[in-house]
Formats: sequence, C-alpha cells, structure tokens
Amino acid sequence: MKKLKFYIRSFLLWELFQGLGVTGKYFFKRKMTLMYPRQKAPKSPRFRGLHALRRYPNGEERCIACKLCEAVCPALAITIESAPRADGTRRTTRYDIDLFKCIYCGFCEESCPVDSIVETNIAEFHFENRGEQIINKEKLLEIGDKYEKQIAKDRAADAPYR
Amino acid sequence: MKLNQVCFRSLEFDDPASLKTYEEKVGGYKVWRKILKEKPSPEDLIEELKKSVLRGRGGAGFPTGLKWSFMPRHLDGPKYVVCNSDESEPGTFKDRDIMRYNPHQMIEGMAIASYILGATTGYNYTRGEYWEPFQACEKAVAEARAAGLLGSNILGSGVDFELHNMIGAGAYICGEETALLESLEGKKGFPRFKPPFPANFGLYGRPTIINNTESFASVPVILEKGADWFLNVGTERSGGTKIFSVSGHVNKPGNYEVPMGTPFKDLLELAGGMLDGRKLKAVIPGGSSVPVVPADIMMETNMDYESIGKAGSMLGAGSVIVMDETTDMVKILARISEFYDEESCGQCTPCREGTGWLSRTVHKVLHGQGTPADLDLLQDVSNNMMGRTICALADAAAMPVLSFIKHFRSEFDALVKK
Amino acid sequence: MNDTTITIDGKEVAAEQGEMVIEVADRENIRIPRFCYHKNLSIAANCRMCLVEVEKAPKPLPACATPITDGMVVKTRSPIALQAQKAVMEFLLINHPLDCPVCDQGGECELQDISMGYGEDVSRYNQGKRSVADQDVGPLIETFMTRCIHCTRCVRFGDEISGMRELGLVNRGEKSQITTYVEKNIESELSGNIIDICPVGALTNKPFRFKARTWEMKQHATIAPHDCVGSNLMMHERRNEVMRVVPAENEAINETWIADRDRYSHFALYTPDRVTQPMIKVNDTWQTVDWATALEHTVAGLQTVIHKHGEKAVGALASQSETVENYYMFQYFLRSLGINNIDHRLQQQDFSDQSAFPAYPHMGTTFEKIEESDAVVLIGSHTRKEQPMLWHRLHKASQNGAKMFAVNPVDFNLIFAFEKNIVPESGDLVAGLTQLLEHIPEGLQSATKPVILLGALAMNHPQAATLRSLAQKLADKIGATLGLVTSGSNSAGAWLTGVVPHRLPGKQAASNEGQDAQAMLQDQKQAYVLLNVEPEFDCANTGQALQAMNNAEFVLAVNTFTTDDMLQYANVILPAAPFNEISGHMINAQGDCQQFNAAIPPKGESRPAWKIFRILAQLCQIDEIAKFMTIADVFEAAQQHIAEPEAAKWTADSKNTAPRGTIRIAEMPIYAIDPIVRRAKPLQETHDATKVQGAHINKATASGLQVNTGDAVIVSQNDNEITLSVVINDCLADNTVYIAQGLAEHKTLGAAYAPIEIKRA
Repeated sequence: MKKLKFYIRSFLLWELFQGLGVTGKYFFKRKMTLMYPRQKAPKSPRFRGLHALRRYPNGEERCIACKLCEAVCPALAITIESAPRADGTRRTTRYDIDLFKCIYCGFCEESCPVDSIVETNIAEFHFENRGEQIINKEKLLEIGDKYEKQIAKDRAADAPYR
Repeated sequence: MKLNQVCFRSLEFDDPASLKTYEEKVGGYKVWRKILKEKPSPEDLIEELKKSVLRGRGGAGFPTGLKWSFMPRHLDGPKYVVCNSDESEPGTFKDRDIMRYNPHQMIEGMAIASYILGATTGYNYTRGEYWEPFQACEKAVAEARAAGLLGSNILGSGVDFELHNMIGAGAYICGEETALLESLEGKKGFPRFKPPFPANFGLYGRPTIINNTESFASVPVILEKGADWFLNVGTERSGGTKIFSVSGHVNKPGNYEVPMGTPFKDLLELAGGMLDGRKLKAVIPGGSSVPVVPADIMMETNMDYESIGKAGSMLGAGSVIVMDETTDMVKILARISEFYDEESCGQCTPCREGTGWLSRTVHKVLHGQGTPADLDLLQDVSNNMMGRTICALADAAAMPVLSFIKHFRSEFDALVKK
Repeated sequence: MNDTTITIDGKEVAAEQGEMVIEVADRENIRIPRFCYHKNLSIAANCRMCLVEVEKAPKPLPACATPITDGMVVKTRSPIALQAQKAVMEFLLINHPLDCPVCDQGGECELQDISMGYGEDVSRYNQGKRSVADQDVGPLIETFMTRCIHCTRCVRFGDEISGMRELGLVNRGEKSQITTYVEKNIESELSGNIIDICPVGALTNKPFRFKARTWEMKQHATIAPHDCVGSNLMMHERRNEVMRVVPAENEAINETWIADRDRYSHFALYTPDRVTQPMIKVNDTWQTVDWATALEHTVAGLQTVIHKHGEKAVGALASQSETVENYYMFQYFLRSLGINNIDHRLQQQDFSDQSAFPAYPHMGTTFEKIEESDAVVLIGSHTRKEQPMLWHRLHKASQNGAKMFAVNPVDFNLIFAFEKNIVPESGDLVAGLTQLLEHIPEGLQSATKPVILLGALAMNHPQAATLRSLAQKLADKIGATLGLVTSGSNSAGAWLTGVVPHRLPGKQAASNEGQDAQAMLQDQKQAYVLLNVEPEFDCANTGQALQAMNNAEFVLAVNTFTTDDMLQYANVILPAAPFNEISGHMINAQGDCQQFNAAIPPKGESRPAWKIFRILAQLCQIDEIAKFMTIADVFEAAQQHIAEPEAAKWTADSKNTAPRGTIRIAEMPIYAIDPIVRRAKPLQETHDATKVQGAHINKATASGLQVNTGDAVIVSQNDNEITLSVVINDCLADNTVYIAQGLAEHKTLGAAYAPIEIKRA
C-alpha cells in the first residue's frame, strides 16, 4: 500500500511541486536582503558594541576610577590608573581598553556604579595601525560625547527591564 | 496617711536646712554620733539595712543593704562613697529638695555608709543645673565640718571621713553611675562596661559605693527607728517611704513623701486632683524613661515597686507625670524621643544611631508625614535597641516609644498617611 | 593553664580563665564580627557588633568584653545572636555614606565585608545622613570623617600605643565625631597605624590616596630596612611598582604595628635620582653605558689605583642596612683584592674597644622581655625616633610600671616620665653616666629586671668605649642586662660577615688589620668603594668625608641613588637594587636572622649588590668566585659565621678626651637616617622632618648670643661656615648646639660632640 502511494506520487511530481511552492511563497514575500552597508538591520538597545565613557549633563566626566570594570573584565582588556584630581576628587589618569582582548560581554557596563562606561550600539569600527586597538580615555570620552544622545536613548529604552 | 516621715522630716521646722534645726529639732546626727562612740560592727548595720528592704531610690530599685554587702570592705587602700545627685530624668526633682531642705540627713547617710564600708572620702555629684542645691550642700558640709562631724579623727573616734561636693556639666548620662564616676575622674561621661561593677572597680578603679541621694538620706532614719519600723511604713517588699515628684496636669504639682504602697488615687488627691477637673488620660509613673500607663490601669495601682511592675511599668525614681485628656500623646513621645537623642552619649552604636532615628521618625509622624510602615519601624528599631548597649539609656529611649504606641496606637494611626 | 572548657557553636574548646569569648573564638577560627575590638588595644565594647548569645544570660552579650566562665555555652550564629548582629549592622549603616566606589578602603573594608554577611539589601532609613567636616591632619593621613563609625580604635591607639592622645571623640550621641579638636597634624611617628586599624575609610593613607585598589595589588612579605628592629612588612605591588606598605603581624618583633618610616619610605624608590643604569664618568661627563663597559671601567680604575698606590690606598664603606649577602660579597671582593680598609660604622668616632666586641653588638634581651622589665636606663638613645617600635616596647614597660632613667645629650621627649633624666652639659655623657653610677637611684637599685640600653648617641660618642665600660659597671652593680641598639637595620650582619676592618667573617681577627671608617676618611685615600653610602650625609664627619671623596682619584659607588656631590666625585656609579628588589637576610637587634624575598624585579638595569661584587670579583680573576653561583651559595658561606648572641664584657676606656666648650650635638634625625628615607617625600613633609632644621640652642645660650628664634647665626666646624636660623629649644643643655646630621644644608660641617663655633650673623 505504502509502495503504491509512493509510486503514484513520484509520477505526479508531488514533491517537486511542493518544493516549488516554497520557492513561490518566498518569491512573492517581502525581500529580507539588506544592502549593507547602505542598509542596516535594526539593533536592540542592549546591543554591545564599541565602548564609550559618558559625562554628566554639566560636562563632568562620570568615571570615578572605582576600577570595578577593570576587576570584572574577564578578558583583562581594561587598564586603569587613578589619582586625585586638583579638586581632590577621585579620577582616572589612564583608562585604556584593548578592543582585541575585549569580548564585548558588557560586564563593565553592568558593574559601573555611575553608568560611565557603556557599550554603544556602534558595531563598525576598524584600525589601520598596530596599537590603535587600544583606545584611551580621551578617545572613549570623545565617543561618549559624540553618541550621547543615542546612548541615553538606549539606556532609557532598556530601563524598565533592568 | 502620714507625710514626710523620712527624707523630708525636717520640713515641718523653720530653716530646715540648717545644722541647728537638724540636730536640735529633727534629732539628726544622733546615729552618726552613736556609731562613732559605740563602733558597732558594719555587718550588723548592713543586716539592719537588709531587713528594712530599702531599695535603691535612683531608679533601678536594687536593695541597698544587699549592694553594700557586695563591697570588698576589707580591701586595703582607698575606697569611696559617692552620692548620685545627678537627677536629670525629666519629671524628677526629689533630690533637689532633699539637698535644699535636708542636706544634713544625706551627709549623715553618707558618713554612715563610709563607716560601714571603711571609706574615708565621699563625693556628692550634683547635676550641673542645680546651682542652688549645690550651694546648700556646700553650706551644709561646711557646717558639719565646723561642728566636727566630718574630717579626720571625727569627735576623737579615730574615724576619718571627708566629703566633697561636685557639680556636673549638664549631661543626663552622668546620672548613670559609671558615667558619673568617669565624669568625677575628670573624663568624658561615658558609661563603663559592666562587670566589673563599681563595688569592685569604681572611682579611680577602687571599690566604690554609689547610691542615690534619697537612699543615703533614708539610712539614718532606718538606723534610728529600726528596720522594722521602716519596713512597716511601706509594703512587704518595698520598705519605707518614697518621695514622688508629681508633675503635669495636677493642681498642686510637687514632691510628696508618702509611704510605699500608697494608692495612686490618694497621691493624685494629695496633689490637688486633676487640673481644671479634667479627666486623667495617662501617667508616666517613674520618669520619662519608663513605659506609660493608661488612666484606667493607673487608678487601680498602688505606688510601690511590685504594683507598678504589674501595671506594666516601673517605679523608677518616682517621677509621676500626669497627663489629662487634652494631651497629644504623639507630641509627648516626640518630646521624649528628642530628649534621648540629645542626651545619648554616642558610645554604643544602637543608641547613638537609634535615638536619632527614633526621634526623627516620631517627629515625621507628628508632622503628618509618616506612613503606617513608620510605626512598625519605630517598634522594630526600639526592640533592636533594647538591651544591646552598655548602659540603659537605649532602653530608656526605646521603652516610651513601645509603650506609647502600644497604648495609644489610635492616635498614631490617625496621624499617619493612609 | 587551659583549665576551663567552654562551648562555642557546639564545639567544646579549652580556654584560660580571664580570657574573653572573642579571644577564644578567634583562636578556634570561629569568626565573630567586630569593629571596636582589636587584640592589641584595650576593650571598649562600644560597637556592639560582636553580640553573641550566651546560655542563661537574659540578653545577648558582647563577645569582646564577656570573660569566659567554666561550662559557658556560647552561640555565635543562633537566631538571637544573628538578630542582634543584624540590628547593629543596620544602625551602623544608616549614617554611613554609600561611597564605596570612591573610598580607598573599598575592598579591604571591615564594614563592607561584614555588611555582606549581616546587612540588608535595602535600607529602611530614608532620612538625611550625617555628614562631618574633614580635618587636615598632616601629610600622612587622609581623613573622611563622615565614614567614621566611632569604634574609637584610633583614640585608644593614641592613648595606649603612640602615647600621644591626638584624636578624641567629641560631642555626644549622633553628633559625636573623632577629631583632633583644634585642627592640627598628627605627629606621632607611629601614626600610620591608625590607617590600618580604622575599620572603615575614615582614616586612609594620604600619599597612596586613590592610587590603587586592594584587589589589583600583590602582597609580598619583606623586612623594614631602616632600624635594627626589623619590622615585618607586607609590600603591596602592582605591575612591578610598589604601591604601599602595611605591617605584617609578628608578635615577637613588631606586633601588628610599624613605624611611619617603614610605611612611607617606599615613596623614595621612584625619585628621579634613582640610578637604574650603570654610569661612568669619561672626561668629566657622565655616560650611561652597558654593564660590560661599566664593569671594565671599574676594574681598570681600581687596579690602576692599587698598582700606583697599593691596596692600602683604597677605602671601602658600606651602609648599615645591607643584607648579609651584600655584606659578605662586598668584603669578599675587597679582601680578595687585598683591601682591608673595610667598615660600615660610618657614624662612630671611637673604635678603641673594637676588638673587645662580641661577635656582633646586640640588645642583650628581646623586645618581648623589655616589656616585662621593671627599670630601664637609656644611655644616649633617642629611641622614639631612632627605633620607634623599640620605643613602643619601652612605653609598654613604662605603662606596666617600669621606672625609666636616661642619660641623654638632649632632654628628648620620650613621652614616658623619667625617674631621673640626666642631660649633661657639653654633651659629656661620660660625666652624666658617672653621676648616675655614683648615686644609683633607689628605683634602679631595687629593680629586679633592669635593662640598660646604649643608643646611637652613645655609640657615636667620641668616648663610646668609656660609656660602654661605665654602663657595664652599672649593669654589674644592679644586675642588669646591658645591650647596644645599633643604627641601621643590619649592623649585626655587617659585624658577622666581617665588614669591619679588624675582623674576618665570624669573629676571626684579621691578619692585616685595616683602617676604620674615621681613619680612612681622615687619611684621604686615593680610591673609595661605596656601598649605598652617601658620605656627605651618612658619615660622622660629613665635611671631612666630602673632602676625602673630592680629593680621591677614583670613587666607585654601588648605590641605589645619586646625589649632586656624588656626580662630582664619583667615577663609576653602578645601580644597586634597593631592599624591596632583592632577596636576602637581615639580623635585628635581638638576633633574629630574618629572610625576605624580592617583592618586585630590579628596576631598569639595577642589580643586587652581591651580584655586582661577584661579577667584579670574576673580572678581577678571583678564581674561587665561581663557587657563588646563587644567592643560596652566598648565604651558605655567610651562614656558618652567624652566631648566637654572646655576652659582652666592656672594660676598656676610650682614648679620646671628653668634649669641652661649646659642643655640637648631632643625631641622624628620624627622617634623614638613610638614603631611602631622605628621599621619601611624604616623610619629608612631616613636622618631624622639618623641625630638626636650623641651629637649636637653649634660652641661656641664646641670650648669651643675643639672638631669638628665627634669627640667623653663623656656625662653623671644619673651617666651614654656614648660616642657620636659630631655634630656641630648652630641651638642650648649656654649651650645646643641636645641628642635625644627614641634612644637605649641614653637610660641610664636622662631627657630633665636636666643638663648634656659633656667632650672630
């Protein structure tokens, strides 16, 4: 009985049509192809990309050199040195992230008590020379300044779930 | 009911504080002279005191005779007798009047104590605000010294006793006996950890007897009239008379020395009844640190250690604060809590941090900003403070909070936001 | 002893009557949380964190203040105990700021640790927190008093350990604060310990402020190289850089404390004048070269001098704080070349009884025994500044009722009260000691365990031998233990390894006796070999030493640091690694030979000095050097000479005469004692470092000169004049002028106890 059914089906090219049906379905469906880099997929506000150091609205850097991110970093990608600033507050004198070592786990962001170190949604960055992968404090602050709007928006979007 | 039988027995005469009145009219220093002449054994005197069931009048109510029997009397070296006249408990003003009107009886009591314990030096530590009583004591000591009743080789008996008055600087905590000793030594008034108790390690690390003014002032009368007489004046387990400092909403606030076990009703009557005939709401029977007792319970209670204990409070120093129906209990508690916040010495953590927390929270409730959770918090914090500190100040701050909320919860509930 | 049994958490343990519950629990590794309790301080019982349940007690009792009784049953983690502890934790936290991320104590904070176990996640306290104004208490300690939990450990430390009540608890209740009251520096030389005992971040290390977190540093045990106590240290290092120093516990030596000098000296290690490359001088210009060139240059230089002038024309000086290994290779190299002028006693002036010395000078007793003595005689000893941890033991003895006596050139403030304190005129300690000997005070006569200690000011006296023999007479009369307290951290090691001109390692008399430190500087040698010595600071007669160096043909400095003068007179400077970068042994005053390892590798091209001398010996074709392959080989060779302390018998008298006229009193001040300390910036900022500057004279001398405090005076010694400002100090005797040694401004002057001219500028 089974054999007979199989025999008839093979004559009717049932499986061929079944396959062509899938083809046809996708032929008329909306296209998923992104024309990267001109087109980009939407990113979650939790996306963990390039790092940045944020500032308070008054321009004061947030980082207080508590070194929790350095301690928590599983890849030992962060190096911090600290000293009292002229006004007596605790500040970093060096804040380096080695992006080759970094595994983009986001622990640094989780551990930060002042929401200073964040991972932005920037996924595209490149280096041209050896050594450039270590980004220092100035660079991190610069990224923070440049993308603050986006960073703040992402944090706000994610806030209810934290 | 006979008033003023013991500590205030000089009051019926003119110029009660003078040596002349005390010696000639009251018959004072009789016991002291007799002791100097006959040199009875200190053990017998302590036995007599034990029999009289004189309980410490400073608040704790520990039997005086028993306390004195713990003192290592035969130890060589200096020993001290210290009189605790630092009565700073809100509502208490009995020692003030003893010092003002009958200082010689206190001096005689201390002298007898020094004989019993083999001490040669005594200090009377007066509250910082008591300038007038302090001056009265100074005058009395000078008189007694001039009459040869104090000093070295008193009346040729070979007994030495020198008494000094000392005035504090206005700290409530110095009424705690070990803090008082620290203050007397010139240090900051921090209570010491006990044990060792002052009887073994007191002033300057020497054996020291420290008692309340009223306790000392009762001693000559007991030894004069006998322990049985004293015991019979009061009740079986609280001998003698007690001065009650009645204050608050009564017509005649003041000190009343009545026998132990006098019903509160009678005491209230003595004090002239309720002010403007209003209704009694609650009574704090022993000074601000003891639990409050509502009117219905209080009216059935007698004024002695056991009865008040049964009523859920303590006799304390006998400071009866009477409150009528117009009283805002939350406001009273806020005032009391603020007092303990101000007076905590800051040594132990629960008291240092807890008193401020309580005071601020009660104020918050008072100003209508509290929540029901705040009332639970108050009780919880109070419980966490009780019995966790070196001295009893934390308990003193916590007990009113617990009792006020227990008995007058409705008033608190009315104030907290729903 | 262990006669009582108590039960803690179901475990039966033996205990001794009088012990507190917490002591027994600590011994049994049962952890009871605590803040105010510290085993070396008195019991305050005020933090209430250690409340435990004791069966039959109506309420929880503080474990720190509850003496044990037989059959006591203690529960440290029962519901009642835990509830009490959690309640106290909540009270402690309500007013404590939540600034752990910026707090230097974060990571090693007792409050943080214990709150992890006993604190709640969310606070029930929603009112304003207390804040307290900070005080500036000097260059060593940073305050952040809002964090204070009023445990009063620092107050008790001041009362009981440092002997100076500098901090107190003022105000009452919630307004209580720890303060100096009038804002002022904390002056005690043990002050740094309050940083360690502070359970929170209220008192922190100021120079170390915000530099590193506890978890990023590695800890290495080492030994303090500044005095003969040999305090045990823990050196904290991050990425091969020393970040800070804390005490390591050793009840026999430093208990749980260290002196500020040991704690802050490491800040010198990275100063710009640290040598990290071999340097040679060619045609009066300095060149940084590789080791091979430098060594060649050295050997050539030395051999030229020896060829031209003979071995006697070379003098070798070593510091008093080298390791046994360094000393051994130093003298091995020099003696192999036939050089016998070897010495480390840089500040001593009297060598007349040097052959009567025992194998090495020692204290004659132990630190722990000093505590138990009932009378102490200090002769020429500013113990409090020379050996702060030894002073601490003396202070304890004095607190236990020991009677204190002193014969000192200056009436030093040693805090404890002296029964008799002789301050002889003109610094004539011999006269002072004779006076004591002739009229022995009753308290000393009747003592059963008296101790006599001769300090640096006696050892460096021109009549030191006489002082020793007089002290011996006194000791014999009253049955006292007599001890020498040497300068430097390893004078004992130097004696034992033969870094003295008259002895080979291990007390063997040298067949060719060399010249002592004084003689070789006086005679002006053609060449000098220096091992961590800065002659213009470290020698007895600094002016003379500087001249000798300047006149020498060849000076080899194996040093950690250079000085401006050294760059003038030296020909080769080889970088020797400092104490924290080398391994080795040091022998302290009570005879403990303590081993320590390098905390970090030597910086730059610097090397341990013993290695430098080994390679120099190799280049000088000394064949036997091949046997010293490792540091263990060197120590093995030295170890056989390390002897047990032996009793000395001093009988010789000094050949020098007593100082007469106006005399300079000089000591190596606490923060100028060696090259490392002199460069430690935080220490140089303290009052102890600045107050020794200037010419100190007493009122009588000042009125004789018609000068007042701050006026300029001209003092001259060695035909050199310098201008100093006057400090009137009534601790001085008549006819004495106190001008400290070891300070750059004073380097052209001469020796201590030598005549000095002083006149108005």
